[in-house]
Amino acid sequence: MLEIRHYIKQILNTPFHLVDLSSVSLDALWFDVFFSRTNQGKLFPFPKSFDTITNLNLKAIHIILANVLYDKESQIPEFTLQSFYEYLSNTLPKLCELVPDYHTWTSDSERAEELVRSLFDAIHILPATETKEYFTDRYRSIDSRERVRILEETKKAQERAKEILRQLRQKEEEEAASKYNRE
Amino acid sequence: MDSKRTPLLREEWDLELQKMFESRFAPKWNANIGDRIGEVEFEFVKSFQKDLVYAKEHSLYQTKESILSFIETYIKPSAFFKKQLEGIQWKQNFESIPFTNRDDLQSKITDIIPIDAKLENMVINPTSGTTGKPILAPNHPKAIGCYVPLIEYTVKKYGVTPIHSPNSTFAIQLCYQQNTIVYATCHSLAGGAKFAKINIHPNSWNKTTDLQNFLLEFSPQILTGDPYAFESAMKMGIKYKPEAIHSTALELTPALRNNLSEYFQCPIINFYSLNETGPIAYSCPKDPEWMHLLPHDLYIEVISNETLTPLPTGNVGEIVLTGGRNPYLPLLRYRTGDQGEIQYGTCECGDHFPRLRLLSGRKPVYFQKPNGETINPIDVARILRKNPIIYQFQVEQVTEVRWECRLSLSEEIEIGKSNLEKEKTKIKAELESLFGEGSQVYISTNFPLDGKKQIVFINSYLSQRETKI
Repeated sequence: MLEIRHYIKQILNTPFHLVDLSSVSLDALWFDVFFSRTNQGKLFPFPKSFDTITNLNLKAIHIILANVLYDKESQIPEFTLQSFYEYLSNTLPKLCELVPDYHTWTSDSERAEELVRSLFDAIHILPATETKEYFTDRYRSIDSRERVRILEETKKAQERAKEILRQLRQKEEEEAASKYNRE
Repeated sequence: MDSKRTPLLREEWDLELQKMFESRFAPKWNANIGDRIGEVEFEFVKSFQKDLVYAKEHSLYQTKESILSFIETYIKPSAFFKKQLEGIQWKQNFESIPFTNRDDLQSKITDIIPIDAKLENMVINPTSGTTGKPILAPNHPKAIGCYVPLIEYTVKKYGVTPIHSPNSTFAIQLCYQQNTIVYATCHSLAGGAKFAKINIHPNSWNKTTDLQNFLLEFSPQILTGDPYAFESAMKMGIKYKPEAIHSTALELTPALRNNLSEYFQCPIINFYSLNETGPIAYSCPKDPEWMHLLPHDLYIEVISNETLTPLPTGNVGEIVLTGGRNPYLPLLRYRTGDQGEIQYGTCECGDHFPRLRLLSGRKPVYFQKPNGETINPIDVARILRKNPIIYQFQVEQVTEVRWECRLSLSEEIEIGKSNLEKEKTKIKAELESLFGEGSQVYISTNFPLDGKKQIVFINSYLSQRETKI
């Protein structure tokens, strides 16, 4: 593995000028990626086709990742296809919802880092010179899903705080419960 | 009465209670209040009572080791606990836990209340605000219900056996104020025994003899109230002999205790209780200068005023509490603002829980009208508390006719300059009407708002006169 900055750079340099997003076949692309990585793939590597995807932004994220994995010099070790397939099917659509414009992934270095870390997290590999703790900590701090979760929690907490203050005012007006003594 | 206010109300309790409501000697009732104890609350209090009795029998009071499980329970649900405990080895080093102060209860209450606490059940028992910045302590009927076994435990220690019957009146609470709520109810946790809160001020009665007759008609086992109310009752010449007197809220001086005991011919139980915590301690039957820690679920510390570290036995410092049973207000090293010392060890009275000796407590302060009549400071607090812009206040009688009223105002509530002047004029008029003809009230608005327990009422006029005498 190389250090994270190499993979980030690769994402930022995705050659979109060579890609016609609307006509590209994701299935053909993934076939090529895995054929080049293993030299033994004769079949499509995944249980379900990705060519049904029409959202161009989602398609673009596939292309960004394919570009990272295609490069033999990236020194990415072998990983299980099952977890990678789940990542493509479940995590990517969510990321696409949170960061809808694909250009953001290739123009904002923090988003680029998030994308590569989310991939490495899903397929359980670590960039060079990083401990698992460091990796997780850094990933959490830039994870869009985590950011949205925190925002939602903050919003919920603010709503609850508002409700508490409202109830406090209301209950002050209402009758109390009888007790034998006073303080 | 209705079953919303007292969900477990029975017909026979209601019948007895009606006699109190409709008595020809009854005061002018002006409020309806019930115990709000349903099945769930009833079971909670009964279980609390069982634990209390067991803990008392086996001297199982809380220590800094045993209270850790209480703290653990609240780390997740209370954002305040989480923040206070973040990054410290609190299990290994209890003293590393930051203190909670009165200001936290007011400004961070939304973080303190656990996230899973259902707000519908919240109740607020208003305080009279005699000791500084009033705290709107949210509470739950089940925690307020626990006052019953706690108070019953203390009266039993003084030889009084509470009668759990709707025919009986367990307690009547006395107060002496120009205005206050006056109500009668019954307590499900005491088998429907009646309870009334009455105002002995003549304003509250149809005929002057009614108060005396009302007490005789319903003959409560105990009288509760503050020293001011008992002293007023004594001065008014009320003739009634309860089985015990239960005094709270203000400091009970030994001289007044002796006078009350002689006058009412019954034991006087001094009680230390805060709205934030509920009952904390009661005076030892063998040595009334000392008070035993009452509940089994509160951990008590005394900390140095200088270093804020826990003090060994025999040193005076601030009383700090952790624990309790109020689901809306779990306390984590809560600085009460009260001073005292703590002592451990067995006691002749049989209650081996730690003993507290309270110092410089809440001394009753009375104001005097130019015509010589006395004024209960609670009436002053009532006027100032109802105004939402006032956060904290101090009122001092400086001369026979001059009062100084120092206010700290809420920064959150925007109030224009002209409105502020209007408010001040209104407050001045209300206070001057209370203090009587010839009184002059001067209002300033630079009283510090620092969350400390301030002396709220000062009568420098009377104390100077007393010194001269």
